[in-house]
Amino acid sequence: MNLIIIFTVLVSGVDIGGRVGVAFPTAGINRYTRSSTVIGLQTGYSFKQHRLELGYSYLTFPGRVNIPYELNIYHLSLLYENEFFHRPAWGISAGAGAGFGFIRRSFNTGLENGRAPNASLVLKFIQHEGRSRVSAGLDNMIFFEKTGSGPALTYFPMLRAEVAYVF
Amino acid sequence: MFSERQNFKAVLRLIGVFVLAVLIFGCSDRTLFRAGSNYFPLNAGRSWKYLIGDDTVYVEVRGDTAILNRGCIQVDRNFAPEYYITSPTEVRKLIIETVPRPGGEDTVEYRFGLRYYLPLVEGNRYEDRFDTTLIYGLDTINYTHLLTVNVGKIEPVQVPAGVFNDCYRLDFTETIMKDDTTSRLWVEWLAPGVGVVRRLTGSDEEVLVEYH
Repeated sequence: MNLIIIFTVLVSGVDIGGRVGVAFPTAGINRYTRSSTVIGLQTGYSFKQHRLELGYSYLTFPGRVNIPYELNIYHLSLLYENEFFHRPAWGISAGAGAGFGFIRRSFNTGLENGRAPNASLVLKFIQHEGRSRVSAGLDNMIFFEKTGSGPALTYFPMLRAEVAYVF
Repeated sequence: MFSERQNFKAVLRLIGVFVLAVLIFGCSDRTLFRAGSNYFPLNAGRSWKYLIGDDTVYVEVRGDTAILNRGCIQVDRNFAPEYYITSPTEVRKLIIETVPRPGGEDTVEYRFGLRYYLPLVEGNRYEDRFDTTLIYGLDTINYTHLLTVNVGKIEPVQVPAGVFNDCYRLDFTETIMKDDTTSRLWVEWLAPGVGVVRRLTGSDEEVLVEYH
């Protein structure tokens, strides 16, 4: 058991860092909002080419033509990533996972709060150097909601960059 | 090594179960669905049939035209034309108000007034105000047309055309102040992708029977 723990410590690592990015509204949402800035935090656990990531992102979509409308999403996600193309200093990884978004819409005196589950598909370019881990890539967030006429999907593509410290 | 891999696979399986559980059982409030829906779709060829008591009202989008040098959409309501300007953030309707005076009528309002301020968000309140002065010989009368709208709760609405979820209830109060003051109140329920499904004006109820 001790050997397993020592081995795990040697070949795996925990990293913690932050992220910034931009997310784009699609479907009907882009009628009312512009692209969103994204900020967040993430922590990952790596084992060889595998990585698990727990992340938090805050997306804020401002209203179009200066209307006082805002759509905010507070998003938690759990992802599995596989660095399928690996070089000593860099690599390319693909990942998938699920998350949950806490949604807030505000417009003048109006306010709505909601929540929705989502799936994420991620493709990243990663650079490892010393204790730093830098990545940039595309995150496709697809939210699922049940409506009277079947499921409604809302898609937000997101470009984001992450910087992390590897322990 | 082998057991470590097994552990990792077990973690992955656990995540798989978590992902499935989130997607299957993760409840939603359809907030994003409402945020992306069009609650007042005016596309050429669309039509709605309403019932007010025993009377039938046919509403049909005729297409684009121009009024006051602005592009607008003509909508026929029982063959009487109404004109709307739509943009992502608002819907305006042509208002024509006349007042009688000796020898004929005066048009005091001929403008596109705000009807829906979009997107609809529960609890929002907006108004559209128009002020002018009417001159009758030596007399001057201030004229004000005020429309106040409260975006009320989200609720399902059952009408002959079916059950519509995620409908916004809009309470309209229209006041015209001149030498006297007149007020009109009505309530509309708007469904996503459909438009008005129910309208209550005093004791008159207008309900959607079918739409295309």
